[in-house]
Amino acid sequence: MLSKIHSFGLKGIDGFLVDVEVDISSGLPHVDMVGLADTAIKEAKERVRSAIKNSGYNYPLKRITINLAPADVKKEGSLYDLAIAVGIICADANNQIKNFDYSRIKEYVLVGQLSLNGEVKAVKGVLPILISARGQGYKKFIIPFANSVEASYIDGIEVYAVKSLIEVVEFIAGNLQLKKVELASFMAGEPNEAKVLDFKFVKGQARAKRALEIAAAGGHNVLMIGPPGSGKSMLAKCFPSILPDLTFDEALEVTKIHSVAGELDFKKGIVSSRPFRTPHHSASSVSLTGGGTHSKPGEISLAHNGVLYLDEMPEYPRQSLEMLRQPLEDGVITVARSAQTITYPANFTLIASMNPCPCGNYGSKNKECKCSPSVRHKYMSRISGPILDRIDLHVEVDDVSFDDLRAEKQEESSIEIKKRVDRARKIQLQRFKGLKNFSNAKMSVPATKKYCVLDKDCEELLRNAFENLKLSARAHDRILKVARTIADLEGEENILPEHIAEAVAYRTLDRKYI
Amino acid sequence: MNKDSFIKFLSAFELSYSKITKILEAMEGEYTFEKFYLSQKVEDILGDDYTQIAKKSNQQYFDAYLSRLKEKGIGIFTCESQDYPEKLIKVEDAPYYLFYKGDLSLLSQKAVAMVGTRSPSNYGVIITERFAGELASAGAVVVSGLAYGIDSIAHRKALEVNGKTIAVLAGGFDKIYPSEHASLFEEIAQKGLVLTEHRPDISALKYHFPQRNRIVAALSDVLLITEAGAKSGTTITKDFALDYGVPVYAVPGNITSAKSEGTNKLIASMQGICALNADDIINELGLKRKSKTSLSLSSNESVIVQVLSNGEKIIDEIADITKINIAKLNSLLTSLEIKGIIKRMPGGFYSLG
Repeated sequence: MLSKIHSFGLKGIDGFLVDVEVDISSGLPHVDMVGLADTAIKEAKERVRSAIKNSGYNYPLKRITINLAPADVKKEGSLYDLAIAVGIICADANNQIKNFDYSRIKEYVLVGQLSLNGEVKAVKGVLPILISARGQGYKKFIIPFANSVEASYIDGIEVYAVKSLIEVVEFIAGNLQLKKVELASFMAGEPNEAKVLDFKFVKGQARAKRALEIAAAGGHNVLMIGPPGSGKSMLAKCFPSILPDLTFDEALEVTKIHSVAGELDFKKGIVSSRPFRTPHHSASSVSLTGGGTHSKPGEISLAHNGVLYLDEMPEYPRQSLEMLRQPLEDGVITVARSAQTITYPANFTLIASMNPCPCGNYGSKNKECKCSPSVRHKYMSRISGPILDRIDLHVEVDDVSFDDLRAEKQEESSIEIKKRVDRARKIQLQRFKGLKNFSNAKMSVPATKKYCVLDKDCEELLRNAFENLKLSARAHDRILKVARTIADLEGEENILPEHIAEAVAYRTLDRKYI
Repeated sequence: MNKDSFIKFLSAFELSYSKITKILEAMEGEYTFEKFYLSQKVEDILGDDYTQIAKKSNQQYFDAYLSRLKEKGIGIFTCESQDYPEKLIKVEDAPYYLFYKGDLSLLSQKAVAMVGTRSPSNYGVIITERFAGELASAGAVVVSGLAYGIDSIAHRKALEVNGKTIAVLAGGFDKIYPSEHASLFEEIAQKGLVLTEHRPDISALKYHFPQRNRIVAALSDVLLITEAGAKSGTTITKDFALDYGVPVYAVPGNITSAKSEGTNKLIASMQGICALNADDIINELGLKRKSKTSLSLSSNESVIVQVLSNGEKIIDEIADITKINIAKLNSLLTSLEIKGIIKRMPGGFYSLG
């Protein structure tokens, strides 16, 4: 007999329908699996046999052919186990289960991994599968119980969570009512406290804090330059605490990626705070961009809608840094491999830090730099022009003096700063209504022309700045965008000369840094 | 062919000073190609190079060589020409010829050589800019060697205030060292003067640098060392200057700073005159300081200038003292910087410009 069970596979962060067709015919006991399945799926036949047997059902000793349709798309992972097991039981005419009605399962989509004792285990990518399937008109789903929290955020569909194969089979036999997953409401969460610090603990560093505030408000990328121990990493870790809360749509996007990458916390089910990713500089370029044999989103996609922090930026291989160019511009990364081309979202704020020279002391007041000019030049040139071009704010972070460290001065807390950031974001949401981008940093050239109108005084100041401070041409648009954000922070409708002047102060590296 | 042309011809072969001297002696006042390549003495002097050079000893090769130089916009003058600066005559091994690009009239003007360490401290940068700016504005030609650090800072500052500057290179014009200064070289060639003893395609070798320093010292009326450590190429320039009777000025530094050890020792040993401001040097050169045009400052701006007159500060310190909020302060500092009153240093320091 023939059975057909719906299941879903993953391509990038989107799901696609996979029909698991099982045919049982007489012949020598043998299982044949076709449809471009990878090793993990081929091993399923062993898991499925044990699971069926240990759940107390009969495993047909006949010739079994399993087809994963469409047969010409590569499939990977262990999420078809449940569908295959149910398919075999359904196709077995002599399964000896009372009231067994195959039609009860026909309109369901099944995903789940099986263990040998018949338990249904959690799988990666349930959220993106549910979202894609909903888009394709599927309404009913059976998923592993462990994935139920993640599924509870999708409305408009019926999701049933199961713990074992028995539950599914008993449901088909009409003996059991499956438990529906209740819809949960989304609450933007606190940033992960173990990782994120509050700005009130950072003494001094007023300019760096201000730069990060502007970055958070306008979605600008930041490069911090300073000697070792000046607090660059600490400042970066404080950054997520002043970012605006994730909206539900943003959270879903982030969760989709984290779910596919298997980085999702099943208990929480959804990523409710902006991600903060800190890949080490030894990270391979594939781990940064994503892709690979079992295509997986990389660090830059996991940082989607959040922050990517690159500590000691010049230490990263040149190749890895250059690959950030497309995502920094377009907010997506397209990974093309011979087998397939996948696009992952990668719209992140880049926070990078570096020393001013290899020894770290160039420009320091207290310590002497031992690097020769050519060494310093080489070090600076490890970050290419096109990458620098995409970083709007350069800020120098100096050593904090002992007096500053011990000072009792009250520093502003992140909550205060976040209020200003939220206000500036609101203005931008209003401005870019109906457009895809909603931050000043992502303004296109025409948008920059439209929204960054300069009056005579501003023009004059900008011209003087270019001539007297020898700024490079690439600084021009960056300055306008940053000035726009500063004006938004101040609640000004028009850009004023002082906003331009402040924006110019963050373009250190456009000048001669040697 | 006269002696002037003959020396120009010799310049095509990058010969050492002593070889040229001997060849000129061997020519016995008769400067022809035939005399040159037929002379046994010349053959002995040139040794292994003789065959190569003898082959090229003809008018065609010489003309082609001169037109190649001309194409590149490179001029050449010899010790026989009127362009040859008087200042160089006092040098014992004065170069027989120099390649140049730019304005030769600078050679007859009052000049100050500014040299020092290749990796200056913030202090070194500030005072070099201050001295170079004031001296160049007063009309002194700033002479230096296009090297990293003090040299390039002095050149740049002189250009910035629309003053004149001469760069003496240790290699040929096609092989600018350090290569990062190629654009600076072009700018000086256009607005000032660049000189070298070497054919355009010759890269700077280690022993070229001390030789270059003798020209820097000789071309100047005053040598000013703004910052130099104990072991420094500056010592060589200083020794040449003392030999030629050029007064040596040194800017004192912190006695704890290794970077000022050289200049402090110069002053302590009384070889160098202590330079506390540009006025002494301007007087020594017989020039006059131009009166400064005063700029109108807002009250906040003058407060910042007041604060910075006590020495360089980072923005946090300025904010602490002035109590101006950071956003406002950022824009005030930039506008002061644009007016050229203050200067931003590596590490985020601000100082009076």
